[in-house]
Amino acid sequence: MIEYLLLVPVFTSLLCFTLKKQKQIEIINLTGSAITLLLGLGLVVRVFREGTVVTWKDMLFADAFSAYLVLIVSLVGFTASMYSIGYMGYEIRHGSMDLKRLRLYYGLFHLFMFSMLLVGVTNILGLWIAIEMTTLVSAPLMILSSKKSSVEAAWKYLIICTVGITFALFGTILTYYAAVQVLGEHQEAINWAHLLAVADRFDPMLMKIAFIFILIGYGTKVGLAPMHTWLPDAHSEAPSPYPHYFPAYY
Amino acid sequence: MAVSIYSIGYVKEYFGKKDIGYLGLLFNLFILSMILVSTFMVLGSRRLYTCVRAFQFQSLLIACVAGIVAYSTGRSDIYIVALLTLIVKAVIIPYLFFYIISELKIKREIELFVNISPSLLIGGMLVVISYYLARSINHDTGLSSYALSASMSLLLIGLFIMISRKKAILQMLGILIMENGLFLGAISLTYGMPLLIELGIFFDILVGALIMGVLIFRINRTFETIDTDRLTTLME
Repeated sequence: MIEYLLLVPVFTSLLCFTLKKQKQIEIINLTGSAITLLLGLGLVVRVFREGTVVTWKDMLFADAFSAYLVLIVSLVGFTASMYSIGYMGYEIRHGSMDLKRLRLYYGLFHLFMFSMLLVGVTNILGLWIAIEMTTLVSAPLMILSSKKSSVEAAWKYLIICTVGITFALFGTILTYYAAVQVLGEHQEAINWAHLLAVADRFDPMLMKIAFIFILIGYGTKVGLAPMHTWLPDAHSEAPSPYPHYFPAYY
Repeated sequence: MAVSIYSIGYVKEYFGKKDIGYLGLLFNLFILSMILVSTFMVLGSRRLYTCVRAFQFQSLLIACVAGIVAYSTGRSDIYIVALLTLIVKAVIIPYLFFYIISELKIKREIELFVNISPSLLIGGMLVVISYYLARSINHDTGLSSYALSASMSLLLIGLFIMISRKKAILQMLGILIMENGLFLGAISLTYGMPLLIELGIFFDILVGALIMGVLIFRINRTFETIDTDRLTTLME
């Protein structure tokens, strides 16, 4: 169930990268996000009926909170992809966008959707990978137009967010280290549910430092006050339907 | 200087505790201090090529650490990780740097916001700070504590390189040094993470470096320079 939910955006983006005609890309884009939405809704229903869903050797799981995230991401993704068609069509008619960039736009759009869905349904280290992926996928979207300000915003965004996320990884590694001390060298040491069960036995000093690093790290990505400087520029310079999608997750 | 402070710490520690294999410990400490030396080479050099070479050397050493960890734990997946480090960080990414440098005909000299000697001093201070920080959070006094302090120093010095150098390409180098520090911490504290996760992180780093490379080209084309203090369009 969860793996289908993740595979659909990937396939959609691959199709968007390869197709030749604008019409085809738009149709694929819309169907892809509609299927994602339906699967997301299905997952939500299943989680509320049966409780936590776990698949694929414990690597993917969905509890009530991830159901909530999946619902938001797939819903906003669907509406944004609908709006994109009109918006990008307008850009193309006015010549500020060509077919190559359109393909890139839709392809990256769906990859972005994939990474945000992945954020909701993975473990603590997978979370980091997925969040870093959101940065990497969205930075090229900003340089679709080669204005001076867009390039500058993209560089700022990429650098600030990557540094932030590096701190978050350090915090995550410390957390994993604390977990390994308690649980031993085991796959379980990166699962939210298992971590929560033994959280009271972690080394408090280690967790304090880890918390600071993680707060700064993911705080940068969310745009918490001292680390927010990338945010307004990024939102004003990216193609318009896309930023609406941005805060949806954060 | 900082390195010597560091090694005094090592020696002290060695005399305090004798149950770890003498040669193995010494070898590991040697590698760790060489990693720090390579970071200081990046800090103390004005030549772009030397910086990239130092980074390459550092990645090579870190791959060595991963190899040693793999050998001592006997886990085959860490060998894969060590090999990946070697290929991605010591071959592909330095090659990418050299490609960017030769394509863009970047001036060989680095421009700095903070001069060489204060940079070195600040670097030394950062090493001392991370040494004490690592001491306070890690209670076992084995190798992992040194590795933790070395990894924190790499993290902090990488950050310092990013903020004190003007060229976009050195900001990229700073980020990669930070990533190296993280990897060192992860591999020596927890003997590596699950393989799938490790692969994901490598993939992210590689793609990140590629995207930064593309962006540097784009910056060069739109601004006709890669000095980041010219990026001021959005400052009002």
